Amino acid sequence: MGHLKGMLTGMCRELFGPNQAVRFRPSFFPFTEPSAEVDTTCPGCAGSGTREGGTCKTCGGSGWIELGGSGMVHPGVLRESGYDPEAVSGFAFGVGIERIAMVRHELDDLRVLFENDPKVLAALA
Amino acid sequence: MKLPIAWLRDYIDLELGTDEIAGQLALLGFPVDGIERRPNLSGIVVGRLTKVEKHPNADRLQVCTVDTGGASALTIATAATNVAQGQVVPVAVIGAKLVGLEIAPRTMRGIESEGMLVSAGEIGLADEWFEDGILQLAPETPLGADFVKMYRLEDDVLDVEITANRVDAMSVLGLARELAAAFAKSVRVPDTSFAPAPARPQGSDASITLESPDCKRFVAQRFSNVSVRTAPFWMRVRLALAGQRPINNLVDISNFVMLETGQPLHFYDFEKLAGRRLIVRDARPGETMLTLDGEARTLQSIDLVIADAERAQCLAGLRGAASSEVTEATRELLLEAASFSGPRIRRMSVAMGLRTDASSRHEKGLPLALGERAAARAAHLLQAEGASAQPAFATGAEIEQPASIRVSAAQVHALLGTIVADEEIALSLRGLGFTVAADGDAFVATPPAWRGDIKLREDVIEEVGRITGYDRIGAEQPPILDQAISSRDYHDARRVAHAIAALGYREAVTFALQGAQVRELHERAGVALPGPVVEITNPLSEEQRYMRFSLLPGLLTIVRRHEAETPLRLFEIGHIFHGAPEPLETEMVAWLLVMPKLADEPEWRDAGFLDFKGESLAFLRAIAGRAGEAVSARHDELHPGKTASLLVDGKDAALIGAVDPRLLASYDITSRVYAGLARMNDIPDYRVPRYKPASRYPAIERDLALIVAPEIPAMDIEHAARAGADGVLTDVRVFDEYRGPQVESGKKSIALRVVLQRDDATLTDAEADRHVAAILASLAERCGAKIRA
Repeated sequence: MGHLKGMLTGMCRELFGPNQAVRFRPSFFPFTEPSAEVDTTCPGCAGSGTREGGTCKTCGGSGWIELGGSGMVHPGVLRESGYDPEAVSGFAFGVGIERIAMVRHELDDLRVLFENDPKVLAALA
Repeated sequence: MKLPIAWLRDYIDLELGTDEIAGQLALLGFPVDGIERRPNLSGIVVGRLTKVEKHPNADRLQVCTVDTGGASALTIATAATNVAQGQVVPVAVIGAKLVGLEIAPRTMRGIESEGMLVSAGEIGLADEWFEDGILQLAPETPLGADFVKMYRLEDDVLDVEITANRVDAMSVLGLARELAAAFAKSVRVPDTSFAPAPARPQGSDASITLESPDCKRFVAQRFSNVSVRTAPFWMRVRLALAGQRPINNLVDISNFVMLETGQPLHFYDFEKLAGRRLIVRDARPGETMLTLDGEARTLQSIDLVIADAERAQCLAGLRGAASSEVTEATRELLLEAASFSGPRIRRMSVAMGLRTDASSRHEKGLPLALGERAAARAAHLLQAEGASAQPAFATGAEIEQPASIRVSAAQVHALLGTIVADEEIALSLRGLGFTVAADGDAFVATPPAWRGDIKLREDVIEEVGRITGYDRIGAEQPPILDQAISSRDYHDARRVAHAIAALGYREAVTFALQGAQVRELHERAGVALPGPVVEITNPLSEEQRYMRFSLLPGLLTIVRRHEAETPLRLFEIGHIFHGAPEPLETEMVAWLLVMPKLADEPEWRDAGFLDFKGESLAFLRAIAGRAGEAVSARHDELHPGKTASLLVDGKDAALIGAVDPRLLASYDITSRVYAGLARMNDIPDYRVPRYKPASRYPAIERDLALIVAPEIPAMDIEHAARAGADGVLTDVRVFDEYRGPQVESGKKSIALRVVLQRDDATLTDAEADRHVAAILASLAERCGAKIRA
């Protein structure tokens, strides 16, 4: 899980900047064990929770944004895929692409991504 | 689940505030979705009404003398109608702070009132859930005690999210155990003691039969001398904070035990059970029952019921029947604490459209060991209410001893990527109720009876990680990070997207799931579908019932909304689906040019199509590194006379054309719309263009005036010319088209320029004539073209 966290930290730094950290919170997904929710430092407020003298709107003041789910591949999944869980391990993660787009482009409304307004598409191109 | 912190503190001592508790729960894997902040309250004490008299000057007021344990009694006037001498009630003294008011001395019709008797609303509880008037406390409540502290009325309520694997944590006690493990505290286990009535020599007077394997275990217990009344205030306040309306002591005890332990209970009025027996069986098709919510239900065989000798008395895990409901007349009680098959309850709940607090627990499969514990707790509480209890008895599967799991510190390190010392591993697991024994350099851990989710070593390691904290896991670069993991599909998609974006097209992303109206728009236009449309078995909504069969509908929907903004250039890369029984998934790229219709352009001339063809060939040139060629083609969504296949090295790479006007009409689009469609698999590889020296010899240009049928497209004429030339044709282009009086009727005139050149010598006029003759022959043969006279 240290490697998983390391890789996700690398990914977040590529996406949002060199000072990103990653936080794990325990969770449950059927295909991973252990499982973790992934948060990263809020790029809107650099993790402070405040922005322009008020509560950061991107993270709601927590200093973290939720990225998605992750975990170590469940031994049953490895076995069904033809791997020996005693010999190999693997990690898995899934991140909502909308969430990344919202934060990167500072969108205030998720629906913007589904409307395909040509003016918006041109501005984001 | 609503978690009143006041209730939580019954089982664990925490010197922590709301936010710290919420934060710790999140770190344990139970995120807090919301916090209900309780009002600030002070100055409320417990008092006894030693005297209640009518106010001398007011019909609607009564004057109470209140003993609050102090030296002198208080005089308090009240408008409440439910007060009587001897009652023990909450009393707000002068200076007390309640919801929206502060108590000051007040003269009420000539009587100096030294406080106020308190009702539910004034302490932030729902008035309609409690006494109509002043709250009533148990007679033995100590007088003068701080009412707010005693019932922890200022403690906030958390809304906690419980993951699907943790049915044991869907309870106040379960969450108390988690916090106890995290803070290395101990849990005060609720009192389950009761004095059973002497066992009857002939066994219980109730019998339980399990006819369905979907009832794993059924714990039953008989109670007598039940009296139905209002539950004690401490229980009612906990239920109300948890969002459960207090009803009467019996209903409240069953809800209280469920919220406390996680095990739902059901109480039957024993005297209403025919044959004094219960049978767990499949419902008979067409069997009917009236449930406690007043619904008359017709059952199906998927429904599991608990029936007496005559009729269904409970929908297993969901809701009881009105015919055995506990009422004020109930004296004899039968308790059920059962464990059913989770999937069966889930299917039943979905089929019936009924989800209850009980079913949300049963559908996850309850640990067998919970039944006895919950029954014993209920027995303790019922006995406090005056009932006498027979011993509980269980029917069904024996409670299995949870399997032990071997785990070592090295294995913990390997999976978590962080070092956890032996003592920490043992402490974390013991804190959660595991039995832990050392075994060489490892531990043998046995999960507690209520943790049915712990089966593998990985499950145990996750518990260690949760309790020691995921924060301890350091971020470490995995060694594989240095190797680029290439994906051919991803690379192709980016190559295509960059090439088309460079021509001014903007990338849209539309939904792959659509409603039926999308296919109806195609059908209404008379445009054939590419194959059977793929339907989703369990769609989330009607708008998401079908997989998209083409990228055009999504893009045309955008065009319809933004037609005023022409010219528009859009593209999308995505999958389309068709075919039965096995759906075929094809990744496509579609690009769209939208131009306003020109008022003075004749119908047969379509400058937009020529522009689009030029842009599409430029796109292909950019991704292939070599030129493509257009030949006429057909596609169901495109205009039959204005459709071309773009070839690269003679192979189909893409289809382009004017979108079928009937399809545009069904989308209410009046502009001209041109579309290109390509399978991502057909996108040619990029090939670096090779240098070829330009010819040093002069070229000969010839312009040919041809008469052809009007339906022959220019690109086919160019193609025919190329086919007839023999290595010396360097360029061919239709540069004019004319229809009118000078041309024989039913034909069009085409002006074609051919450029001829040799690489190795000067081309003579005679050679050029010979080549032009060959080209004309090919044009005549392939297109029926004649030289214009």
